[in-house]
Amino acid sequence: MRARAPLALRLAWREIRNERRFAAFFALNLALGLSGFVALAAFKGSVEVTLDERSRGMLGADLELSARRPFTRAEEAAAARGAGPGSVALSEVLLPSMIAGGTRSRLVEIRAVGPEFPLLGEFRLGDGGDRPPGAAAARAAEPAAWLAPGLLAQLGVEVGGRVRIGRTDFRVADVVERDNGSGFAMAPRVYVGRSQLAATGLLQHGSRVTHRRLYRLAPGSDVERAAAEVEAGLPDDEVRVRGHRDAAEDVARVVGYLSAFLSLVSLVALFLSGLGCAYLFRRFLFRRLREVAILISLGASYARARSIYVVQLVLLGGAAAAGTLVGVALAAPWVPRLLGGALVPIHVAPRVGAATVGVAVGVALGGSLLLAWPALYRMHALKPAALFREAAHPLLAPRWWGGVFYLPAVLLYWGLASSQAHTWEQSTWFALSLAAAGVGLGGVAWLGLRSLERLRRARPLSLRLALRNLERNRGAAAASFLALGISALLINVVPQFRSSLETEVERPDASSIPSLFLFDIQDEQVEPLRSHVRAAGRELVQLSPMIRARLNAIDGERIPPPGAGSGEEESQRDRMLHRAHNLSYRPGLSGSERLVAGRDLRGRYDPDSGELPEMTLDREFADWLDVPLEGTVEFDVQGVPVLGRVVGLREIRWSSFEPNFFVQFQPGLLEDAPKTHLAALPPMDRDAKERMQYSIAREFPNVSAIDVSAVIGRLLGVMDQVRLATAFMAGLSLLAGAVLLYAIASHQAAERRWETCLLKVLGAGFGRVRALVRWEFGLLGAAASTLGAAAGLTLSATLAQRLLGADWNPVWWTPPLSVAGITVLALLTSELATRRVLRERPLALLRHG
Amino acid sequence: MILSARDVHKEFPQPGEPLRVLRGLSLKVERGETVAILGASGSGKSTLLALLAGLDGPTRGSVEVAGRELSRMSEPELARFRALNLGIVFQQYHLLAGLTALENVSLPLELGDAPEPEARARRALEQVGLVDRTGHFPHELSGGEAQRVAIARALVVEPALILADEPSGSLDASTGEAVMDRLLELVRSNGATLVLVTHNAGLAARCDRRLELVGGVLR
Ligand SMILES: Nc1ncnc2c1ncn2[C@@H]1O[C@H](COP(=O)(O)OP(=O)(O)OP(=O)(O)O)[C@@H](O)[C@H]1O
Ligand SMILES: [Mg+2]
Repeated sequence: MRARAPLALRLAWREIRNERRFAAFFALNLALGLSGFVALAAFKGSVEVTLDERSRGMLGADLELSARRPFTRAEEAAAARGAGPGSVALSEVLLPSMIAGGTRSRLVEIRAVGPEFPLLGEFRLGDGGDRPPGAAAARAAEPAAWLAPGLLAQLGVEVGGRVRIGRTDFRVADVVERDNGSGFAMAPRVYVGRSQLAATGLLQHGSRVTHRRLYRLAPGSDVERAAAEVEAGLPDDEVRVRGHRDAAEDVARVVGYLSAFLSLVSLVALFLSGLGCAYLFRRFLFRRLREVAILISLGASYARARSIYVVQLVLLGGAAAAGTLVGVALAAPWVPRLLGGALVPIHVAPRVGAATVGVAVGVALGGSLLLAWPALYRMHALKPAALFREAAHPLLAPRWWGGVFYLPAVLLYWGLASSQAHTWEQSTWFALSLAAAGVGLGGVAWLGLRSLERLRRARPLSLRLALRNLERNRGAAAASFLALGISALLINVVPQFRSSLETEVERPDASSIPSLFLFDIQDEQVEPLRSHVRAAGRELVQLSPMIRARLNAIDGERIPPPGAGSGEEESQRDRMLHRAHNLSYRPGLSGSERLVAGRDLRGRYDPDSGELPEMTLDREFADWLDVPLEGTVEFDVQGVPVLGRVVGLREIRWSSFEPNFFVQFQPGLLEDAPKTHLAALPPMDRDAKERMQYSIAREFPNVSAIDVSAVIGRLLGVMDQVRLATAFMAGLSLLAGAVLLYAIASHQAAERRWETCLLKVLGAGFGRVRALVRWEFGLLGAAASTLGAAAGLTLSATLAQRLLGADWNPVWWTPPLSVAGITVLALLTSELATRRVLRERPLALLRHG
Repeated sequence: MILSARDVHKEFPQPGEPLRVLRGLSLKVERGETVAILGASGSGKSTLLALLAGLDGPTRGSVEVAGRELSRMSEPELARFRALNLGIVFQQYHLLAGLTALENVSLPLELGDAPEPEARARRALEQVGLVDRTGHFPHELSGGEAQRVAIARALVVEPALILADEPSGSLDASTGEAVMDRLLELVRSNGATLVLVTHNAGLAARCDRRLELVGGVLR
């Protein structure tokens, strides 16, 4: 006899084939919800793999030492010992500077490299040929520079032309098409020989110079061990030691933040599809209860009956996962564009590896089983004795507290959110706001449906009947409402948020946003710079002293040595505690901040008063340090301890782009400490700005200028990328919502066949019956999207205020557009879903029963 | 003795006083006997059958089938017991819509892990005269044919006890007659025991014993 599949599998397969519509909807719905999430998982996974593979090339070395000061001989010797025999070292200096060519100038990052450059990693020059910087620069008769490609056009120079850096003219040797070892740069890179740097005069005290020493180890060396040994040989913690893996982690972190955000957005689609799956399965199982009862009367145990459905869920979940994976694999080439190559320095397309398959299958199977579990569990209460009675008898009554059985599914979801978010708080906030949106929208839907009772006397008959239908099927109506509403919310929130940011940073003339930031101004340069700017008819504003310091103690408690904490959050805190902080002093509050606790600083510090110097802190910084009002903080300013008392907390509106500091002291204390100055220039047109940049670069070569609008432009670029990706995710949610709506509409149409038929027998034409459906789903779509759009507006307003401190500047066309779009979608979907049933001739129905 | 119900009570909770359907009912049926149960609509006949089949539990009292007390069995045990020892025929046939006639009939055998389910199911369908309908789905069968498939399904495990609730109730008179003839004939030839609920006095007369359910007890 031929081998037969187990009974449960055979029956499950039978049911899937007989209930093709349910099976297709369930799997499609699940796949839609999964696809965004899985695509991101695949992307993240391949970023990690690629980073791991290419981290050496990305650092351009095996090992890196960096410091804000030159290395001492002893340090170089210690590092060489740690790196071991056969290693090759490269010294380089990184610093921001202005570069001028023709009549224009730009802020760039100078990378002054030794003759050993490049140590490793992919490095490609333009078609001009010529040899790479390093050796070539060391040998060149006249100073030569290699420029990032975009700079040529921006400066109006060509290869072979001339640019001015600091006090020196450089010949443009070539463009650098690709340098994987460059990492993230603040500004376009310019490569020069290290030996030529001194002549530029850029290396003055206080300049933001980074000294790096890169090592290529002998083949087969253990990088981690070497890094540890080098670190042990360098007691000064101002010298940072990184292996190439650590360097890749920085990139991974940036990618991590972006994909964490998008994952959370993609989880909204998953949430909606989960809602749909739970609804679909419940409907399905309750329709099958009679058959389950028959099976039990024939001698199947409840467990066995249940196993038929478990097998079905596994098959459908597996199909959804497989479909998702195929879809993601097909879409892979387009994903980098969506997620922004600009944000990731290497080109990565998602790869569907074992981990991705695991995620997809795990979430699909786990999700479908947990979402189905409440209905399956309820099967317990099924009494097959009812088979002896009339066919129409309901086999199970719903229980109002049945919802608690969805708790495991909710927990799985929360777990997924936690695995995506960076902190536990983030995921909880995310889950809570989603729950709030859900409960809010669902609640409003429910109340609205209840209040429909009052509209019973509505005029057109179709409308009246449509309202009755909505009222009667509150569960289904509320589910569709929620799905459409949340999609509308998602569609509205990001553009609104971006618009607020945009107006904040691009506010025309009246704007308070400065055009340029100047920093690294030396004490003795303040007055000359002021008169220089004044000569051009401008005024230096927001001139602020800046003193670099480290934390010594908080509220009397000394900062523990680095590396004490573990875990991501801990090590982040550790880094923050040990890094250099910038202090400043000034008498009062600036226009872009307000006092939220305590009081403002009281005049100058009087050393004879016997009291501690006063300071005010940024509120979040204070929270972060965990220092209360009236607490003390001790800083180390170049070896001198400075103890201060917190008298007030400030809330700073950073989006004003005015210079500000977490820590402000009273004047009269830090005036003599080694410091630099920061200043801003008020808004001006582009030409004036570039002229100003150019002249400052010539007269004050060590003073760096940051073009604020260029920074803002980059920020908006990131926002655009995020918006695009979010729009994509919102589209997925909307699709999941549409599938659910289709399922609900067609199910209800089928359930109401008799009624529809009766209406027709009573003389209603096809037009009237169709009008009924249109009213019903049109109302649903319009109400849900209006409410969702309103919620989106509210949320974006809150985000704009809380996150940016910006005025809320709504885009007025998105809400009506989304409402119209979603209403039309609801109409079309319901039309498609019900057309067949509505067109049936009443006679056919009467015959078949 | 194949079936023994002792002092069976069945109440359904409802607002106020519970609805007392069975009130201390007792019933003994010998192996090979055919018993007809008559009674007014709503008197509790179907309720009684559900208790005898172990598909519902009595509020009080005990039901023993083939020497085993139903309420003492665990749910999976009871399921297996049903698969091997009981055949049930419902008024509404209750065939599984997604399975063919043959598959419907072989199902109890498969649930009880009996050998050669297909061959035995084919034989059972032969006995009810439906060999040529094995591949039909329930919606492709007439009412009488569907009920004959249901009878084949009840008989295929060669159960010690067959419970039938108005098997001809949904059929027209002549078809119902034919179906019942076939049922009684097969029960007798297999030596099975039948408890038959019916409104039809003529049918009841063809059984070995007739009982009436009145006031929650059998008379
Ligand atoms: N699950 C239940 N819950 C509440 N009441 C029930 C339940 N099952 C049966 N009843 C009630 O018990 C009584 C007996 O029902 P039952 O179905 O046993 O009657 P019956 O004798 O089979 O009637 P008929 O000849 O019409 O089939 C009826 O009044 C019925 O309403
Ligand atoms: Mg009955």
